[in-house]
Amino acid sequence: MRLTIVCPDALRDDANQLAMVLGYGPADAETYVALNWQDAGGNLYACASLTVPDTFTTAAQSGLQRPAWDTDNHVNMAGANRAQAALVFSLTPVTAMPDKLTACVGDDALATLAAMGLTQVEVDV
Amino acid sequence: MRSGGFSPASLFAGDQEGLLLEAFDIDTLFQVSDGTTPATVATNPIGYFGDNSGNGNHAAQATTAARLIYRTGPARATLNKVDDRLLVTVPTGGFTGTMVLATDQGTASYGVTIPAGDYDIGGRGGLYFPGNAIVGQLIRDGALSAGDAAATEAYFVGEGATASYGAVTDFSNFWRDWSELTSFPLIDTSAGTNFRQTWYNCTSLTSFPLIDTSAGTNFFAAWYNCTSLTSFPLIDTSAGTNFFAAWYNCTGLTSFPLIDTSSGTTFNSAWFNCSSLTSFPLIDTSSVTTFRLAWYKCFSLTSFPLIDTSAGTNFRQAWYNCTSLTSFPLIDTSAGTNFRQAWYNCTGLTTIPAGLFDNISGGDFTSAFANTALTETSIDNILVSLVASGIATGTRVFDQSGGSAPSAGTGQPAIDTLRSRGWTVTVTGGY
Repeated sequence: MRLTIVCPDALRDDANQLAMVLGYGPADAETYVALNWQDAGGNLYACASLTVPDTFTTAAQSGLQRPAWDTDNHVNMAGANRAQAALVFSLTPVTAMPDKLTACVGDDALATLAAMGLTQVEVDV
Repeated sequence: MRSGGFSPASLFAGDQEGLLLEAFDIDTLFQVSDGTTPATVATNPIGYFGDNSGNGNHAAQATTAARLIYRTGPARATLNKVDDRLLVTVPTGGFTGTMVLATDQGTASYGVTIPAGDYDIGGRGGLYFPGNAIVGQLIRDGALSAGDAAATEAYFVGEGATASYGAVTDFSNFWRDWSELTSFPLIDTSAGTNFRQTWYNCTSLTSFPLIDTSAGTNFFAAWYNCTSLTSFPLIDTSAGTNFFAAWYNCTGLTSFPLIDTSSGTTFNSAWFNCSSLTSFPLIDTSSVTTFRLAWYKCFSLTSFPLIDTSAGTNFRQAWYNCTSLTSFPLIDTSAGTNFRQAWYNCTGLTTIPAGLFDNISGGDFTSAFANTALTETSIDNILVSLVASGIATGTRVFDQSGGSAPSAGTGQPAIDTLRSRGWTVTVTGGY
């Protein structure tokens, strides 16, 4: 299934720690990068969208373990746990929240973002 | 060999630099960015896309969420236009030549200049791409002949790419931020209605073809910041309603064609900072209500035509900083309510005709003529015209600085009348 995850600016660092724990390596610290999306209130978000196995949601909400590759404590596990505590899963699009890491299921990432109330940051004119 | 024996790999003979990505060659696709774990079935992520040019310019993506997805029927690398992209390291010297990009929505060849370093394959910045999937992509250092480009396009189409963009209606953000494009092909855009930000920030385009935009209604920021364009073709914009920032900051444009803007209603910032335009055509602006910032900082304009502004209500900063204008025509300002800073810092502006504001609908002239070079006759013309308007309610502010003071016989009595009607009037000379 495709999961589209929106991350408010304030949670980016922690969310990237969680991405490393749930992902495959240090490059997953680049999962939430540019704040290209905004809600109606002007809150900015970085977004990621990927296909995941059905077991992903369970794993993402279970107790976090430092990944095996992280032998030099690269991952900030406290940050990863904070991000996990802010994580909201939904099988349908829900409105993005500026204090939550919101993950919604949907085949079309752009359509999911729109249904979450997000638009691309407007050009500066 | 496919498609009648032609293989684009042959275009890299003799150590010709570049890259060749073929999503239909599954042997080049791997799930992990180090080139391990082959992609074998549809839905597998693509973390590594091998280069078939023989140059070793493989594309990779180490971040899990940003990987493209392999699909079949036809074989292609799909991207989500949110964060998906692969990175290729362009070698020292960069690539200057041709790119053939074959997607699920259309195939075309472009002139490109790509500097050395990381280059996005897929969504520019993960976001902007002319389609939803890559079927094939060739970039060669050294321009392809027209025949070779056409053969490559046909080869990719034979492998499942869509040949023409002719079915696309929404081109929004398709080539946004593709600053490597130096030329753009004459593709079929005849079905396009939405060209919102389509070529936004294509800063290296020096020319633009006469594409079919006859169905286009939305040109919002379509050519925003295409700073290298020096001319623009006479495209069909007759259905266009929204031209907001369409040519914003096209600083290289020296001329502009007499396009059909008869349906246009929104011209905010349309030619903002087109600083090399020396003249402007008599386009149809009869339906335009908002001219805010339309010609802001067009400081090479030496004249301005008698356009139809009869529907215009907002002229705020419309000709702000047009420093080369010396005179201004007797446009219809009858629906205008906001003239705030409209001619601010038009430092060469000396001549305003009589009667320009006789029938205005509102009196906000805050800094409208600040830092101008108006003659005594011109400032008198303006003040007398404001008196003729009869505006005695709502915002009533008028500012002038620079140029000549109003005359004692005409201008000053007009100021007295305006002040008696509640206007705040500031003029050169301090009267």
